[in-house]
Amino acid sequence: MRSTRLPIAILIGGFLFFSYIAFGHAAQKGTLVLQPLGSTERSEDLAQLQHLLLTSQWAEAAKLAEALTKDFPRNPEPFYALGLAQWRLGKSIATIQALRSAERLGLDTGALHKLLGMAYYRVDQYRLFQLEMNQAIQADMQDYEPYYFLGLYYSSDGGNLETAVTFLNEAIARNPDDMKSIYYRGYCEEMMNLRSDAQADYLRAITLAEASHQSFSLPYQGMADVLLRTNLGQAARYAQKAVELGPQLDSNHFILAKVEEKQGKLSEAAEQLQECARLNSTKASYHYMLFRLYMRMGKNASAQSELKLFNKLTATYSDE
Amino acid sequence: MNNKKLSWFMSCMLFVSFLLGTARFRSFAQMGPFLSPLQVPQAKTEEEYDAYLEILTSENPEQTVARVKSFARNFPKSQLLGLAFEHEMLAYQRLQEWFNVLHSGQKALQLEPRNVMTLLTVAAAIINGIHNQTIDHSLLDEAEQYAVESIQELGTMTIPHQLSLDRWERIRGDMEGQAHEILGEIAVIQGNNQKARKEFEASIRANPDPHGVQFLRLGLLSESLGNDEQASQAFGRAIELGPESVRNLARRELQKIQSGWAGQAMTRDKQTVKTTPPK
Repeated sequence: MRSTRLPIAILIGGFLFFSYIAFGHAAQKGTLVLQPLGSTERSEDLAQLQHLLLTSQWAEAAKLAEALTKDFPRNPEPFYALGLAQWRLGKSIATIQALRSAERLGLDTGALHKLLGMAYYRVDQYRLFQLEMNQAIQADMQDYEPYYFLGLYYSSDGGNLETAVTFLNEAIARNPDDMKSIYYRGYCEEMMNLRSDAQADYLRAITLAEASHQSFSLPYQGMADVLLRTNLGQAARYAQKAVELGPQLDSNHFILAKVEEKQGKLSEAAEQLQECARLNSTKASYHYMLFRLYMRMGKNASAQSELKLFNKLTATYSDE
Repeated sequence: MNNKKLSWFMSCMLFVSFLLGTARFRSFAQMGPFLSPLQVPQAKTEEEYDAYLEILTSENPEQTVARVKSFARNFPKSQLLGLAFEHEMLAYQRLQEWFNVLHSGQKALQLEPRNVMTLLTVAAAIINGIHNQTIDHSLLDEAEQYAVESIQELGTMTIPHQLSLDRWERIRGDMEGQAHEILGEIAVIQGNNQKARKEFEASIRANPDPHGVQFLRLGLLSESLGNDEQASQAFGRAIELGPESVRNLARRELQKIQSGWAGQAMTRDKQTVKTTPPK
């Protein structure tokens, strides 16, 4: 079984930067353009705030935005800017409070609802996350991202693969070249045992990633998993590529370990599993697999040590 | 233990409970209730969550208490109510209003009966309340029950994957240590000093990073029982570990023991002089 909790938090980092901080580019969909604050004397502050956000000076931006919220308490824009800066500073509560203020003052953009939805997700408020994503859809029916995030949610925490596919289909209909939506649809299909559909989506996501020169390891991992039973040689190549592109993901090393074990390369598989355990130290199943491998290799002491750790982790961690 | 020693010992314990227990118990509030993401109580509306965040961002404990009361009034069926009462309990703890800590903690426990941090805070509040005579001795059994339950819960509870094993083992050890400290204090109040010593020793053993206050408690008890050697060792460790308020008290007690030794040695020397036959 591959990783069940999808790295939504990792994905939203890039998403937010490119989608939300495009001050002065009013034509770009879903972006914020700070409106005049009602005082020409503050136009310098506004320009400075935009500069700070664009140059990722989040702490300074938060400070200035906060000052502007006090001077202009009825204008939603500084609250939005404050929420954005706090989000980047990792301050979820401050993000939510600032964005809710902006919302109460009448701001009703897709960008606001998406950012607020993500902030709710970060504090594990899934009901409110869904509410805001639905509002983002209402604000901009053509935007694929709320559908993508809802699909991602239902494929992991929401635990409803059919619903996830429905949302991902909507996302792909609006943005046919979005490799992440396509990959996650493939993931859901694989989990639903629709292997040929999954394979087609993984291959499409790989094609799109390669064409845009983006480093996206997950579809390679998916291909390796799908091919594990039918074509070990190809599975090995995809697994190697997944590790090469995403060495920080334990699930990539895990798929390579599975391939190498099947190929009879036990010590190489053990090395990959050790890397999995290093990258994700609380996952019990890696230690059980290491226990099995070490037993096969005749390393009884190491095997027993792994079994002990497996039992300890199983007793300690809740199954998510 | 004679009455004078007992009263001195109890007043030291009172100092330790008030000034140190509070700060340490408060630190657990930062850890949250150790829930996995899928177990986190869900707000039904954004207004409900706004009100909950208002509680979290209160500027002082009085404001927290007022906001929790308002939250409970406006959202009586909220899934977040147990957590809100927990914050109210911690606010009263900062105000050192032990009876109110107990009351809020009991409300929190009705909704989240397995919350170890709440169990420990309420148990400690009962002890503190007994020390400053705002809570009746009859609640001592309840405090003991909470402490025992917290140890049982710590033995079986599971935690989310976000917390590393090493970090969890330290937190668990610290909490278990506090539960034994509470049981030790209960034993002291009940006059069962042998049990108290065992519990204070267990509190140090359970904690991978024992606190100065745990050694201070053991030192004070050993000193009152006349075991100066164990007391000196414990005070020495309390001085090493601190913080400053613990260090000062431990130093004072250690000096008392050492000056007692010096006095005894001087008396011995004088006797030696007297008894030494002339050459």
